[in-house]
This record gives sequence, C-alpha cells and structure tokens, in this order.
Amino acid sequence: MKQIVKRTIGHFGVLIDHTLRPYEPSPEHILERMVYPLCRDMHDVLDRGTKNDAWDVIEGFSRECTRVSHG
Amino acid sequence: MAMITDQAERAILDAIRQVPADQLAGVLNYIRGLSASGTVDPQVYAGITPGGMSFEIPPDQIIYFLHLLVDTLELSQVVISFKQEDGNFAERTYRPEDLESGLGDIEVHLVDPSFLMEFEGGTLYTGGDGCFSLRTLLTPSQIQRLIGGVLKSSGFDMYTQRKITGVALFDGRTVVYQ
Repeated sequence: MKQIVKRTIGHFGVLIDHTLRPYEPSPEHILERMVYPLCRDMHDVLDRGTKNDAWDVIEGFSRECTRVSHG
Repeated sequence: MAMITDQAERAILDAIRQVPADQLAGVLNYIRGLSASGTVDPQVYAGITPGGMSFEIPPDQIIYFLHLLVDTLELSQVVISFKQEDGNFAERTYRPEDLESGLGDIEVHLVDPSFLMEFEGGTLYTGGDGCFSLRTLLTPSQIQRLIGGVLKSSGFDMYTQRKITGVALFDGRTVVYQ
C-alpha cells in the first residue's frame, strides 16, 4: 500500500479512536492532531495519487468503520 | 462525564433565581466561559481501543515510549517512515539494538503527523506531538504493561489488582478507567 494511502487511512483511524476515549478531547486537539493531518493527506492523495489510491482510501475508511461498528 | 441529578439541577436553578436580574447576564457569561474551557487534554493517556490502543505521550518521552512498545511486543524489527521536507517519504528499518541511536537521528520527525511505525502484525499511527494510535493484537498483560509503562514515564507507579482499560494524567491528577 502506498505511503499516502496508509497515512490517510491511519489518520482517519486516529480520529475514530479519539471518539472512543473516556474523556472529551479539546477542539484544538481534534483540529491539530486529527483534522489537519487528514486534510493534508487528502490533499496529497488528490495531488500525487491515482484514482486507485483514492479507491484504496475509501476501502480503508470502510475497514476503519467496521472496526468500531456495533451493527 | 459527571451526571447532574434532578436534585442538583433544582438546587442550581434555585440558586440562579436568587441572582438579581441585573447580574444574571454576568453569571450566565461566567457559566458559558466554564463550559467553553471545560475540555482539558491530559498530559498522558493510555487506553484500549477496538483493535489496539490509543496514547498521549509527552513529546520528550516519545523515544522511551517507542522502546516500551518494542520491548513489550517483543518486536525483532520495525520499519519507520516519515515525510521529508521535499515531500518524499523516507523509510528506515531498525532492529531493537539499533533503535536508540536510530531514533536520535530522526528525533524531529517523531512529533510529525507523517511519522509511521510498522512491524509484523501491527502499525503505529500518529496525529503528531505524541498523539498515537496503535493497531495490533495485544494480550491483557501487554496492555497492562503498556499502561503501567506510560504512567511510570511520568513518575507515577500503578498498583492495582484490577484490570484497567485506561489511565490519564491531568495536571498531576491520575484518572484510572476500568
């Protein structure tokens, strides 16, 4: 898997993990540690990736959703 | 999160009714201020997630944390990658005995969101600045060792017979989650 794809999926997972923490992360933490990295990844995929990479990202996001899915 | 009981809510409303009308706006602004600043991030956190663990590690303790991870999971090799200034990715492979000097060479990248550590059966992701998500199968004893190790690096020892799911350190106050 390409480096940019790995990171994009990983940062989405970091975001999900924070929603499962037993305390509420600050808006600043969410923005700096999750949203901005994910935005940079998205930019990289659009800028340097292929359509297949974009598809791999969506598949990875779906796997992350399954990881925390209740149903 | 703390629950407000009906009794407590009635007491709060009774107290607010005692506030003179001309001062009520000030009180409400004070309460709004408390709410806005109510979310505080811990200096240290380690807790279980589906498929791994999640961590907040002080940046100056990241090297210790990575050693703790390699020791606890008994890894024979890790592959670390990060984004360089030119936008390309660098990839380095380390054996445990090379980790100390190797991490020292790339210290500036340890706090970067592009840092990634892969090993057989798992990956460590980061949002940067010591905020980590670990994806791997962990035994209960590995989880307890990681939680205890992360806490110990901040000068706290944990003595408990109970299995805990997480621990956080807020301004010198330790909160244990079960």
